[in-house]
Amino acid sequence: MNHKPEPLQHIVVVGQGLVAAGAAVTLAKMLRPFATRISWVQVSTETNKAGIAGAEVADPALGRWLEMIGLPEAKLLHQCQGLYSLGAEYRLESKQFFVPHASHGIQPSPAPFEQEFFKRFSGPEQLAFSEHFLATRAAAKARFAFPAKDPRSARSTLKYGLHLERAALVEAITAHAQNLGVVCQSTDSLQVHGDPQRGIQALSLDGGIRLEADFFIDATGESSRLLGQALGVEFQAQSRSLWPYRITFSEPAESPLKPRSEFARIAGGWRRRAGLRDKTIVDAWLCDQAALDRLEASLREQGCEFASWQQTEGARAQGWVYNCLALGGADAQPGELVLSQWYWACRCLLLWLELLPSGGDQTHLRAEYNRRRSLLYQRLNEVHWMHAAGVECAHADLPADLKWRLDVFTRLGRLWRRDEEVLADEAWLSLALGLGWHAGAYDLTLANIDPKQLAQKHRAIYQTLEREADTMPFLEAVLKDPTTTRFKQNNDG
Amino acid sequence: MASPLAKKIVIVGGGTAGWMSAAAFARLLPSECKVTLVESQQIGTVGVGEATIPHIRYFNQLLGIPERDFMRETQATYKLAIEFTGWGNASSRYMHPFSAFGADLGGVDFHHHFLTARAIGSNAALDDFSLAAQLARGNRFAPPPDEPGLGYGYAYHLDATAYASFLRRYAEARRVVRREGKVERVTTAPNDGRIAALVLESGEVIEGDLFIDCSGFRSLLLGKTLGVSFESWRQWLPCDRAVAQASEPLTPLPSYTRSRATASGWQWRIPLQHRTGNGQVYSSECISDDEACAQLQRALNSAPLSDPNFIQFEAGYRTHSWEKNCVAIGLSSGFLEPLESTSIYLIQMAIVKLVEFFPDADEHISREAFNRWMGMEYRRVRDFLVLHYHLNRRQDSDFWRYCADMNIPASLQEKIELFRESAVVQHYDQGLFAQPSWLAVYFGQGLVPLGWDSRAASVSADKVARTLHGLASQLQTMAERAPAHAEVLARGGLKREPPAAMNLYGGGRES
Repeated sequence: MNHKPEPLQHIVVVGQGLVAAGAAVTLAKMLRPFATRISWVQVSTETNKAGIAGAEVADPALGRWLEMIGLPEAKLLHQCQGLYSLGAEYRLESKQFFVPHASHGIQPSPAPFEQEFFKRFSGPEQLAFSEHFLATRAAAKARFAFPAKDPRSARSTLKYGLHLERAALVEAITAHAQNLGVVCQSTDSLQVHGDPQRGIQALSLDGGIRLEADFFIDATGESSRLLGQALGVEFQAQSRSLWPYRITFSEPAESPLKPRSEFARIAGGWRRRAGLRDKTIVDAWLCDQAALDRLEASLREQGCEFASWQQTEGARAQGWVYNCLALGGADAQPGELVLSQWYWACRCLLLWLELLPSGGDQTHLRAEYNRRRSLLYQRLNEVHWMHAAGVECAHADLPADLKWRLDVFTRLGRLWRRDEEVLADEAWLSLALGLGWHAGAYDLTLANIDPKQLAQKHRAIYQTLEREADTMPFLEAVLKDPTTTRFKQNNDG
Repeated sequence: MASPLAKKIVIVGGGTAGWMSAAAFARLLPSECKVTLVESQQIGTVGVGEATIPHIRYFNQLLGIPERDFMRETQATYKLAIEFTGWGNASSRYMHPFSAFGADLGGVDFHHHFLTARAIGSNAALDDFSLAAQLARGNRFAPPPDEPGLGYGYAYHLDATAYASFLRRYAEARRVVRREGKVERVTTAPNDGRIAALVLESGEVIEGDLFIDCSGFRSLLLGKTLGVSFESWRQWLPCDRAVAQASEPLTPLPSYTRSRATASGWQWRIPLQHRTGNGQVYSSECISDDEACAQLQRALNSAPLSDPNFIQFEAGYRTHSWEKNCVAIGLSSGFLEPLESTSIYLIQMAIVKLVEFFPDADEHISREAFNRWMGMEYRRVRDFLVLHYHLNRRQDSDFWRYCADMNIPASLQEKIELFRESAVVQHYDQGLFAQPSWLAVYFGQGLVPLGWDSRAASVSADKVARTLHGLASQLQTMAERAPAHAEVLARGGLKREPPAAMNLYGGGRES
């Protein structure tokens, strides 16, 4: 043993918006017990356009993160006009489908549950698979319940995400960060002292303040002030930009409130509606200027305020160089249609914390981080490509790894398993089936089983789920009734 | 979509791989698939894989084979670990158990705390923090407890020939047809080179749609007939010979396999109920067969029961295990020496993946998927095996000096450098060996990391020492209360077999 590793003494987070706030609070929670000082420099010239009247549409990972940083979910939900979500409802021209956060909870017997649908049906009818989740049934009825711990209960299959008003979320996280001892500094000017040979040495802020640290987190968005500009790490744009134009606006809240987000194909791209208690936040991803112009014109006619901006999908060659880790847009834009920029940033940050460098230069540790981060980027980016296939791009133009996975699925009916997946199996299957890929084969152990027997089994499951969903409270009742919240807390122990 | 393309399946070879394949096909493939197995009593089998890893339990449960029947028929014993002696330096000794070591503390992996403890003078071994290793050390066995963090997997030592016979009875009772005879020639279709039929010495012609090559090292179909090339890994796994000899059963009966490094290779000791399997693996460039045999016989712990049996091999694999309409399973597809008991696992994975990717309308995608998967499995197992050789610190022979100095695969070099620098084990979700296995070998063979997680280093020395001592004592007490391995076997094995998973460590990570 050569030496006892010394913890990082001082980490500076640079940027503003959710990625910066989330990074600061996570680092404070995880590293302050080990005497690491966390500073957060909020650069007023940096604007996170996605933060304007935006909604954070989060999968169940956000709940686990909130628990980790010690921010009470129920209180946050109230502060952020938030809703619980059981998944995403897709409304396409010819069909509707649901991508649940949940599992179906049915053990293989002996074949995995989805294989039964591949045996019973061919083509689009295989979508019946995603109907056999309690989450799907409940969301359709605007009902919601917290997951049960008892594995015999159908409610144990539930998992939930959150819709939160992003600006309020940032505010709440910022306050929490300060409570945890993060030193916040605002500055109009920022000068980064560093170079590609030595990393970041210091920052110069307003009033000639010089801030030194042994590690820097770049959360400055696309401008990538530290990693990109100061250290010269190149941004590699995606071979084809799928939806470079983004627009956000709000609509009145729907009634009744439903525990799901809603995706729809629109001219030139996708639209997502995410409900909050007092409004619905609408985001659109558009493939060209003409589509953006049309939508903007329509919104102006309705007198609706909106924010629009451009975004380039792609990634920097590395996310961690020397003593600088870039998060969120400063690192890469894998696409936010299904999993948000915070999801991407948080996965990277947790990976960095899993590996956690000490004071010295650890080139192999950085290489391991960058290897796994590249895989994560690919997996997230693939989800975007899946939504573009057949419209914005031909199947042949999909990334090779995704094409292979889809080929295995459509021709063999199997999931090709890989390292660092971002979607749960059930979610990926529901999404692929919904977007038009159908399994061309099924598990051979089902070959001699009568489809009528399977139909009977599925009918029984469906009816059980329907009955269970009918016993669940309406989402609005859960949001209003504190006893339900208490039930959840008790249930979570 | 409803009916598989290959309706006539012909398996060549009736060893472990052949009968495992036949039994699985009989259980898993639809009734319209006819399965024929061709074997000759004149051709002996290598009988690989007397030691197994926990995945075999999943295979047996998939087939509906009760554990007690299996143990009786194959004279099996339980296996919780492999003990490696002499692999670091000549006096080093460590266990590679089927379990994790400790549980994370404060969100930081246990081994970082272990490193902190060592830095402040603890002389605990990593094995002290595995219940499976503690049980094995005491020649004890018990089913895994339910307490989180204390679980483990278990496997078997078995008589591979008896296992093949047992599976033969299973398969023949379920529609598999056995044909006795030597394959004289293989006919291929003139237009596409696919295998059309086997012609036996008797003149009988056996036609098929899909041929499974379980012909062992001969690789009669894949290698000889279809000419699929063999990629040698001898430069990294230099042993190319083994001599095996059975001896009387051991008392007390170990619940682990022993692998003892010798000056020019290593020796295995596999305890069965009715005998002990012993073997010496060596490089023919370093010692002669006679010397190897003499070394083995000097090391026997009990009286010999058989004559020595010499085996030649070369480490490596065929670049495509599935070519045209032929799938090689077992030794015909590749060979990685038995150091970590992976032979039966690789057979099992090939069977599982073949059934999963069974060809329907388009054989091409099935073949490609199978080859990609098995290539990944072989390479990841290979790296782990090479690690044992490369990390040795022995100075007693050219053999070990060569292994320490050899150029290793880049994929392994990255892993070692990462651990040496930061005590981090490279992460992957697919493939067999995960963090606990790498830790066992890294620490066991003396790879000392330069740094580790500073969070663990920040914990007070007293607290670390107290926590680790408490855990080791708890595990030791639990192990001492468990019955002797021989006692469990005398009762016919466990009364209730725990559910199995495709998992090396008894829960948590799928592999």
